[in-house]
Amino acid sequence: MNGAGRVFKAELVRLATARAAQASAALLVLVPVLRVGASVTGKKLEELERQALGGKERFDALSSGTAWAPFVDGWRAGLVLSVALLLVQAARALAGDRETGVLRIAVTRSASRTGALLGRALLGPVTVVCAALLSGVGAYAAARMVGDFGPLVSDGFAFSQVSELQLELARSLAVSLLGLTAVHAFGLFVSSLSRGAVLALAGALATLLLWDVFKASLGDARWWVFASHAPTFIDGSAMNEMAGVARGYSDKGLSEEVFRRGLTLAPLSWFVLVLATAAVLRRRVL
Amino acid sequence: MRDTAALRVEGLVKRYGAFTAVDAIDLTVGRGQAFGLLGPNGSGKTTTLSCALGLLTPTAGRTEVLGVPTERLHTLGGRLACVFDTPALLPGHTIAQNLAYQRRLRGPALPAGRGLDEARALELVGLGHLARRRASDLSLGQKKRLSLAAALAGEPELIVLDEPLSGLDPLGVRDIMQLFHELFERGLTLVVSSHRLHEMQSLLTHCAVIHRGAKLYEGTVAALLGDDATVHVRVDDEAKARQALSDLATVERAPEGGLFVRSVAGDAPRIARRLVEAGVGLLGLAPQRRGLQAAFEALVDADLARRGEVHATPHLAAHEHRGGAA
Repeated sequence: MNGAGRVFKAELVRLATARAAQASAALLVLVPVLRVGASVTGKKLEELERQALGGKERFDALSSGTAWAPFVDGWRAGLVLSVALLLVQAARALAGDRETGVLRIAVTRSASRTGALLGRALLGPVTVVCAALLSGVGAYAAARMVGDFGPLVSDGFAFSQVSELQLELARSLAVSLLGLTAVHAFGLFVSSLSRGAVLALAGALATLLLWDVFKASLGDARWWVFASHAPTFIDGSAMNEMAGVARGYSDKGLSEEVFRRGLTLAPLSWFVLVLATAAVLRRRVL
Repeated sequence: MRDTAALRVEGLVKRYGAFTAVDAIDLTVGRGQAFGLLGPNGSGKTTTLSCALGLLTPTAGRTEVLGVPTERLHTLGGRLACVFDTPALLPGHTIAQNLAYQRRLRGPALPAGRGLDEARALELVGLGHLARRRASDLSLGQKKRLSLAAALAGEPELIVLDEPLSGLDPLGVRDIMQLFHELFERGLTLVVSSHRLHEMQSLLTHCAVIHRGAKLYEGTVAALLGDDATVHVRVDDEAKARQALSDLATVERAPEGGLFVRSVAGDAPRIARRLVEAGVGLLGLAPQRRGLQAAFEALVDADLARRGEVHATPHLAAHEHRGGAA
């Protein structure tokens, strides 16, 4: 063994006992709640405006009394926030620990360089799952207060059954979470190249923001890049599609091709990024 | 036997482009030694240690720690511990959490009855009452002590210390040096890179002096300090004494009064006889052993002279005689 297991355990406990992680966990619950509140408030204001202008009522899951749309909006907000948190964690994990000398301790006491990296990289998927659970719980609790998770019904016709919505949500989540783990690996890669944690975070954030700005111009080709599958700041991910599905828009939803590409591309990107990070780390002075 | 060495460096070379930081250095630190790696700033001692600890990839050469090649240091578990110049701590975590983090990194607990538990290690470095304090709230000296406690917990066989006294106040230096003596007496092998030669002299059993990437000396500290080649004399007429000894030795005024007479080892009786024969009133005569600092400076100055350069502060060597006199 190269000590990856020991590093993973030590880093996991370190994360769980860090004040910053505890504050982040609270944020991951709170932000979806606020987002659900904002969705409901926005919809009510829109409805009041429509009534004042005498406009015709149009179908929207938010106004039909189901909790699906606010729930997905809230969860999506939590996942977008988790992108920033994952990048902070990745920046701290290599560049920050190199600055403070903590990486030296791991390398001289228990792990090879690859082991020290792998232990940190494996923390990514765990963090992603925890972030998804926390934001999911926050969004669910808030959405339950505004409606039920029943079928989407229009004029007495249920055109989206609960099981269909659940399946679509599961597909969207699977692709998004895999995208997030690749984002964490990307953060580690930038971190391995950077001199300090602040530079690493700024570099990774700037790159993702740039990608967000330009990805729409690439059309369907954007799905070949892992970052498109993660719910980022200008979200075009599967969760964004799911938000449309939850509102009953028939043109929204994840195509089978994009779904399959997300399932294969994101893990592959994670693997390649971790390998690239290992190659960089092998040459760096610790 | 090869596996008896705590740390071994063979033909180590580290180049940065055209600059050679370490030039074919060989070192062997035996188990149970208190070994000092001495050298001026930029001499290559930290580079040498970094290569041996796997923090830096050497250009050429071979290094091993406790019989294990540096590339496989992680198999040593808790047998090796390092304390770096800058304390490597988790700033947002408490002292107890920092120790627990390093314990998890170290791996499986030592067999019952072996090793030093964390509470005892904290007591040893004088931080037992601060276990719940965050590392970011500690002073530099306390952070250094915490790093040391983390290194001691689990009781390694070899501790590598890089500038362990920097940033400590005089009382801190005294306490930490006392601790190092205790550790050495317990049988631990210590490898210390330090500029504080005066303090280290009482601890080190062996040392290597490195200058400009090359090794100038490796051996026991006693051999480096040499024999009593300098004699401190107090006389009634210093001018007459200088004249009497002019062909025999180098004579300098001692800062605390009297004269330093530098000759060869065991020359004190001859110096006394010469003074008496010249009619100089001899008030006192005491052989002086040079300090580690003076011995170190002599080696470096000789190396500079060999290279055709002159030391910028030659007066320091004479000044050190006062502090380093045993």
